[in-house]
Amino acid sequence: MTGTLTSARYEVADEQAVQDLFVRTGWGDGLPVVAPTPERVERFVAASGRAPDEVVGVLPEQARELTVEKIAVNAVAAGCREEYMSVLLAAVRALTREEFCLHSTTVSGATAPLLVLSGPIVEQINVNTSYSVFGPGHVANATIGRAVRLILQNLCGGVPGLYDKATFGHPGKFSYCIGESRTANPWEPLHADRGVPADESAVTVFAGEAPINARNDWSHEPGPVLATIADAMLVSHYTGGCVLVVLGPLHAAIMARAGMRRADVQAELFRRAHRSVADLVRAGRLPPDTPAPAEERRGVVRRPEDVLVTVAGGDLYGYSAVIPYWIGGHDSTPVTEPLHPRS
Amino acid sequence: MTTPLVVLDPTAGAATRSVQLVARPTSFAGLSVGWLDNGKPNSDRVLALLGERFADEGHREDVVRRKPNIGRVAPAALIDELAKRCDVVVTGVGDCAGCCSCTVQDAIALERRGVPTYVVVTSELVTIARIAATAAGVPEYPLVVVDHPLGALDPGRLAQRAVQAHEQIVGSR
Repeated sequence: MTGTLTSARYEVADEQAVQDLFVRTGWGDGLPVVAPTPERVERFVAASGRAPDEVVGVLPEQARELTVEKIAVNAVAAGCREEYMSVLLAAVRALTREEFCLHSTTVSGATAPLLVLSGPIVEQINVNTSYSVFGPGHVANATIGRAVRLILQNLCGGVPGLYDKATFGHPGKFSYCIGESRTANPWEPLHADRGVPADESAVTVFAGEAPINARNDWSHEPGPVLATIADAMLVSHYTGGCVLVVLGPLHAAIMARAGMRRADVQAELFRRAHRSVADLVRAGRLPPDTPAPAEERRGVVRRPEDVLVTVAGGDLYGYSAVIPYWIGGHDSTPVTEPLHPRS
Repeated sequence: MTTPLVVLDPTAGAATRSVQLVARPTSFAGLSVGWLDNGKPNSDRVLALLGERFADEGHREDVVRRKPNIGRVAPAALIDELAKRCDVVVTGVGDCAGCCSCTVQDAIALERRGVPTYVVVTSELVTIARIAATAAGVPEYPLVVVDHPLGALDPGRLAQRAVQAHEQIVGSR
């Protein structure tokens, strides 16, 4: 099988030399990597069940192809386990769909692709869906997100500072991967609304800025909680993208107790997340000579279904999180891919 | 003693396809000139100002189009339409990392269809334009470079950018 891998090989003295190589070439993210040896990469390719030269996605803006072998090399380097390969292949299929606009969301603005894993895969590979869900401590979240980061740099041109000209970026550019709670989510999984059968596993990719925490611990009614979440949405852009709202378990329970479906939550957040032109001008978000009536209402999203709602996080405090979208707005659409597409 | 380690290269170069550049016209006289606005703020204005500077050459028609998505390559139908109708195309302005490489790819797509195309980028984006051109198989693709920035300029400064672009296009003939 060794002969099937075609990546250039570098012989280095020892583990430290591997780290030096990744630093010198700009292949890494600044943290130590796992040496992508041919043996390890072969194991990962084998776990994917695909041929190493199979093209999983293409990036026309940079005339590039993403193959199983290259995805595996980066997955090894990121510290992934081989059983994550199906997630990474699905993620790459999703990221390279035209409507996601991977090229521009990678090199400009302030976003990183957030991966939301949903369905049985969450338990199968132990994805954190609970406390500190955007934080460290879980191999799957940490390394799947990191593999995506390395893939963006090494296969999609997003080398920080060279091609990736983000002013700040955000910490999620190291790793940005969460799981949807299988216990606290009162509704069907996120992917069920997005074309994948409810009982399957899927990954949803979303070009997201850093999470904004929306805390409301005092109310047990949906209204005030939704007002808090909608208020957190207002700092987003007004360019017609989709917002991802991660309802914390306590907030989700409040909605469910009140008999709200996910679509009701979406409709209510859509209705509330508006600002007047006068307000946006006052905040410097629009120029003073904006040719629109001062009282005109501008929405963060264009339609209720553009508020994606998932459920995750710890269940001790009343928090939700809002993930604002890329400045390009409707130029990037979230994409959901089944882990195991039916052929 | 430690055992040497073999590691695999995690990067993939662009799939290079070389492209034969089309000869540029020595004048726009009698030609159909396409103006492909990439949608960035002020790009439409600066292309219009540039068009005015070519007016005395007496081109036959202007074909003005705007891309539907700033951050993606232009739809094939739009490239096909411009290729069918225009003798020469000017596109821009690449003034950000996302749009610049797409604009360069659009220009090279037009070259592939036999239409000489000038691509206008800003000075901060030359490296990115060069990477994009290399990825598309034309590392030496000639760029029309105007001073950065572009998006928030007043009309006077915008006109200066058009002068810069005009001088380079005329100078390259």
